[in-house]
Amino acid sequence: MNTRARVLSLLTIAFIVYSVWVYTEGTDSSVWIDPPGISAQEGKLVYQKYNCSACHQIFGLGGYLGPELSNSLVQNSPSEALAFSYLKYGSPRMPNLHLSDEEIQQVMEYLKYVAKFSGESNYTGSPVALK
Amino acid sequence: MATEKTDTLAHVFLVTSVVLLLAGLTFGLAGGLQYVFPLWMKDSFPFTRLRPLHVSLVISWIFTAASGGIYYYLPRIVKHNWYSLRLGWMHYILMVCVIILMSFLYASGTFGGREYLEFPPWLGLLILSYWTLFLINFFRTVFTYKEKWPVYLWMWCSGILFFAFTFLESQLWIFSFFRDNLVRDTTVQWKALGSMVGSWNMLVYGTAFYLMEQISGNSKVVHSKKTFFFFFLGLTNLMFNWGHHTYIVPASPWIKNVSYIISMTELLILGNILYQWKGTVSEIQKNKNNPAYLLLSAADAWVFLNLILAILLSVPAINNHTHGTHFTVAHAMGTTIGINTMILLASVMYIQWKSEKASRKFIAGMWTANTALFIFWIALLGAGWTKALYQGQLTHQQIISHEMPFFYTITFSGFFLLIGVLLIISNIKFRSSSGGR
Repeated sequence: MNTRARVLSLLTIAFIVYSVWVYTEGTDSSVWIDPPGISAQEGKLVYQKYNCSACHQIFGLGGYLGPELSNSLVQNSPSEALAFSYLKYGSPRMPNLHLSDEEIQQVMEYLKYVAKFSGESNYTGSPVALK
Repeated sequence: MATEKTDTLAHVFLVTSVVLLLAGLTFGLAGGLQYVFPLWMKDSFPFTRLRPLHVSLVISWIFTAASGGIYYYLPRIVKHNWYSLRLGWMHYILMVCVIILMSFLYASGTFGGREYLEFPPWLGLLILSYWTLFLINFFRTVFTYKEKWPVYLWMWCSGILFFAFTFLESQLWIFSFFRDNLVRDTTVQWKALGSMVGSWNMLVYGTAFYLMEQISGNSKVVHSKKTFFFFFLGLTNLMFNWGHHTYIVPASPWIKNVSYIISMTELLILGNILYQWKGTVSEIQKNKNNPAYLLLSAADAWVFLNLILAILLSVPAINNHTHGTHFTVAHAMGTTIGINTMILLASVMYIQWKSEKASRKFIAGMWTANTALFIFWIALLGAGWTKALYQGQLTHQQIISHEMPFFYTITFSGFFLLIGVLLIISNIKFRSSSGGR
């Protein structure tokens, strides 16, 4: 095996080891929050079904037309009613996606779950993003 | 050597790629219009449909043009035909079916995937199928080449393999082990997407090296130690520098530290560009009438600008403010249009254009596209700067109002970018034979 092939093999091995570490230890221990409930899990799939990430970000993933949602919905905050209204009827920028009430609740549960994580990180996104 | 049948396959790929580029740019322009006229098609064809159409078609352009180039160049490098022409056609037919199907799904509002790969997961199996066909065909062909491999063969090999890996990785969310842990899920998604960009960059940069060798007639560079050093450095960045996207994710700090250290090695690449600057300028003078060379030179300038931006965005203190703003879009657009598209257009030009001389229409297109892209890029930075400035102080709607002049500029320059690309493309004489190259 020549030097170039050897360097490539070493890099590939390092990458595989690093990937496995990222899949396990690297993303396991820094923050511990209970796993999402069924409603939040469903909410995540609803979020994908309507492609909310085209306009909204969660931890930087997503578009910029709408507000960042990582810490938009803290449990029992006044922004809950506002979020419900946006999800139900849309806004001058946001289309009415015709979500059912159940889907709206699920998405809101998911966003509340996400907000718990951003509280644990040094995340600096706007805390009043939905206002 | 390449037969007319192999070349026909390559030409079909290239024609398709150009159609995808124009369609992708058109949807991008429509998306820009929705930024400035929010009520336009808001409910009938919302941004949730326009954005994935734009992104997917433009990414499809990159992969189709890069694959088409490889189908054309590889038989000329290894001096015999592809392992299987049938596999090549199966790759093409499956790929076109996937792109059409994906476009229909997006246009009808049927999603289910993640950002950039919004299609339902079952479609991913088809993508993986045609990529596997390409992978088998490529490796069965390239491994018959017993001479010392030039750097572009290494780049194509790693690009093809890493796309397969990162694509699989991007679909890991279907398993609850990944999906139900938000930190893991987000980190792995950023990891897959970050490295995936690196994988197609390998395909595109390999194409650039091949073209450089052909245009200059000098094979030294593609075998030199320095070139290979930068290839391995680029590959290391592909593998490990994605972590700067996750500075805001509460994952292990090590992920961020590794990424930061690796990102800073890009300073070596930047230094090398500066070191070679004089030589680059004299090369441009020598080849100022060669259309493919001019496009490659434009890509060089964009590499320089985007590298500075990438290095700045990798610094945690800066990233803290710029992440989630149009700074990221500026970087994405600068690389996909400025670097990737210019190199791939050079490749299409090299294969498809009979004349070696750049026509006036081509020069006009080159300048229009690059000037428009520069204004577009600056306006994106302006929008990003505005958001970074007001983030946390104003509401989203107020920030959007402040960004509006930039959004008008982005849409306006996007229109001229499309015109410029049209002017460049209008020079291409599509034909099925190689014309002796």
